[in-house]
Amino acid sequence: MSQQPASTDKQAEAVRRCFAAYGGDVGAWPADKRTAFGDLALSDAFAAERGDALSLDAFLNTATARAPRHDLKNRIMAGIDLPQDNARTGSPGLLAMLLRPLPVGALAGLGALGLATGFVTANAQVASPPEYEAYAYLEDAGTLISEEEAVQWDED
Amino acid sequence: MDNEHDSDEVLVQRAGRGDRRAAETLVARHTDKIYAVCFRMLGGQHAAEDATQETFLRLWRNVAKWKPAGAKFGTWLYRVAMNICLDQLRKSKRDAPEDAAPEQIDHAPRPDDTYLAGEKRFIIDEALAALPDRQRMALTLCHFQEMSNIEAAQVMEVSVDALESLLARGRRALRDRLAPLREELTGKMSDEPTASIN
Repeated sequence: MSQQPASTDKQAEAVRRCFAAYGGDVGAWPADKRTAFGDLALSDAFAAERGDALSLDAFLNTATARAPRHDLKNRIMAGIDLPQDNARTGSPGLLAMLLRPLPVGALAGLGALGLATGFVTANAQVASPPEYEAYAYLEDAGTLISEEEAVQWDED
Repeated sequence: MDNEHDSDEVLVQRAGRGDRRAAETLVARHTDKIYAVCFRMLGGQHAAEDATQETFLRLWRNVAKWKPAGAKFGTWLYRVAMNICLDQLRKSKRDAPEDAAPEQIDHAPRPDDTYLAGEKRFIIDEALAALPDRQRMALTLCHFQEMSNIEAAQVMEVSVDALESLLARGRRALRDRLAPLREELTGKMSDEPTASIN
């Protein structure tokens, strides 16, 4: 009989916790747990715990598993709305399309005209957009993709 | 362009720029896994398909804003699916009358099922469905989807210790629930010569 690895109470408790959480297939445990407790878990000292956990694994593996119907992927693709389909974000803006053919000199001229207009109208009163509109723009600005809906977990 | 070898993150960025082929590759790569998780959480084929579709709808809605920072794409997608399932379960519980029978699980007999295998599968499905949602979610991700404990914890937005606790409580509850049936099933199995338990 091979020599059994000795265990402290703490190690034994850790092995039991692994069987309880990750099941009887020691090879499928997280790598750090397998490295730390694998030999001990596979020793005769834990044969009963291992057998019990493997038995539950076998039960779980007989639970119903069903593949989706073959048209699910088509239905998902039918619902697709990528940016190119969305004129607001996917296509170049009207101003960009109008300005594209203009030579650099013309653009400089337009800039100078704008500057002169600014001088002429500098004293004119221009109403600011109302505050609620500014907030509306802020709310519309997306940054990172996120799924941060507050999930209220059920109490177990 | 061949997208098969590109990472999810690259494909999401391409889809965000309007590349439909990249989106197709993401759908091909993830639909079955997302569906499996939704099926395990919700128990019915139609509900699972609806939740899977909704998961991808949320992806298309956000795809242009994707930045390759933070969680991995796959983790994010599972998290979306799980949130949808939890919302659905919460809604079902809220809408169901107090004396209503729990929703029937969509048991799927296999062609090679004997009566006993079908009965065993039914009992196990019922035991899984009776688990609290978070325990079932932890088992679904770690046992059925074979996800690493770190990734499953990220999907559930809990620590690895908390995930282990959920797993252990879930497995213990299942073991207790199935224990009285094990001997009975074992006895019947020995009486049924043609039984093929997988």
